[in-house]
Amino acid sequence: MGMKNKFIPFVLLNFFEGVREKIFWGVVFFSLFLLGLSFFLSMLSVGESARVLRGAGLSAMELGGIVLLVFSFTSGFYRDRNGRILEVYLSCVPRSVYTASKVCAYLLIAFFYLILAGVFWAGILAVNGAFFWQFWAGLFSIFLKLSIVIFLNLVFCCLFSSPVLAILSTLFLYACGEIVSEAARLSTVYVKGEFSATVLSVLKYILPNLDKLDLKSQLLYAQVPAAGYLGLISLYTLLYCLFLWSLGTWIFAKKK
Amino acid sequence: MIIDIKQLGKNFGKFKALEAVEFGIDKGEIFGILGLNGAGKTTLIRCLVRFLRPEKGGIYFNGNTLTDNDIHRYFGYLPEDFQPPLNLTAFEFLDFLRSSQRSTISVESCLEWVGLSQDRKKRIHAYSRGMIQRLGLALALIKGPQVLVLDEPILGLDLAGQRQIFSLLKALNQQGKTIILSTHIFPHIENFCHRVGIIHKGTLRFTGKVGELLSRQKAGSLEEAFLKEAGLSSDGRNGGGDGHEE
Repeated sequence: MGMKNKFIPFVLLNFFEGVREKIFWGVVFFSLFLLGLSFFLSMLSVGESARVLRGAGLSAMELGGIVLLVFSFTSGFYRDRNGRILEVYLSCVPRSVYTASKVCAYLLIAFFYLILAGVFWAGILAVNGAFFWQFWAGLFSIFLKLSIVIFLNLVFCCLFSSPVLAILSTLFLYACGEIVSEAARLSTVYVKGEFSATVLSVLKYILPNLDKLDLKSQLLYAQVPAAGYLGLISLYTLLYCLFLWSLGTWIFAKKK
Repeated sequence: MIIDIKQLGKNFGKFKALEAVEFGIDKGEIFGILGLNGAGKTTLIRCLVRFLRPEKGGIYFNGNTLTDNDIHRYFGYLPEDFQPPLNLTAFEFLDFLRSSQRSTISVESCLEWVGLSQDRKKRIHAYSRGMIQRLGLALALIKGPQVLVLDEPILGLDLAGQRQIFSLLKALNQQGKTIILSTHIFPHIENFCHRVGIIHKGTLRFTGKVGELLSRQKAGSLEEAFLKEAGLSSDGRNGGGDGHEE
């Protein structure tokens, strides 16, 4: 039987398990609440309400997505392991299929979540006369970021036996990914030691450059980057995710 | 011989969980692995399904080294005290697993065998421990395996549930399936297993028919014979034993 035929049922199994969890709906409502809050923020920002609505909305969706995926993925992964159902799965499929199906199921969950939140956000934008058709690019950039976060989470879940450590490490690396480029740039100006500047520069290439995937600043002005740039950041995300999946699966295979 | 285990050794750090375990299982046999809690039964089972990789020795399936592919194709496995995804129904869960295998067995017939067809649309979180255990057996059966490996299959089941599982396993064995089960619950095993292996503190103390064990230890019951074989007194504490005690 082909790997594809083993893979798809496991993706669906993990997807349905994920979306039926209380945590999923809890975070969806939390994000909708944040989106609603962005509406009130925009009311307080006279003259800039459309831009505030766009920026706060994108940030709320990203924050909600990060919380959802990190907590849901980690709880699902450790539940499989501690509940010993993982042993049943691994008696049916190779470890690489298990890890690939797990992350792909959560990519689907991220997509599903962004559709729900995106429809709600588009409604808020339309009611306030701030709707802009380029908003899909914002959702796309959040999806790319969430993809990297899911794969980072896989690596830490495979690496650590503690779910708390896996969550904290993922969130820490996400924060590092957001600031690493800026830190490396500043180091060339302010850091005197060559060693520190080199370390930051190396880190910039190793850590995910999430700031490059962030399109909020352009979308505030309803601008979309060129198709070539979108293609490049998609390719970067794909390659980075493949690297993380290979690393996570290797750790998973080596662990007892 | 369908499964041959040779000089199997597994350590967890400095702790020797299994040491030089060696036995074989014939095709169509029901083999019981008996031992106290912590004796090494689960470690042995986990090595057998390649969830753990032993440091020493090897496991052979039909004369060849056992591979992951053999496990995926020919082995059905029920782990001890497992927790299925609670937000799915039994039917959905089995259907997903069935789709990932080369199985000709329908989900309906599988649920019928284990007595869960009435509850197939219920979410698993509404199931009792006994029902979850029966669902686990259905999971092991869904791919139509040649070998069933069951770790404590009757744990948490009431008497009726235990009898149902044993009669189902007997029927499966009559169809030619090889069954390996581990347990620390001895009633029923006496008449159920063709052969048993006694494992104690990571070493295999005995393999053979229950009758052979009883006559070797001059015991009236399997429980008594087990205690003597493991070198334990009748109250379960370390006794004089037969010299096997470490």
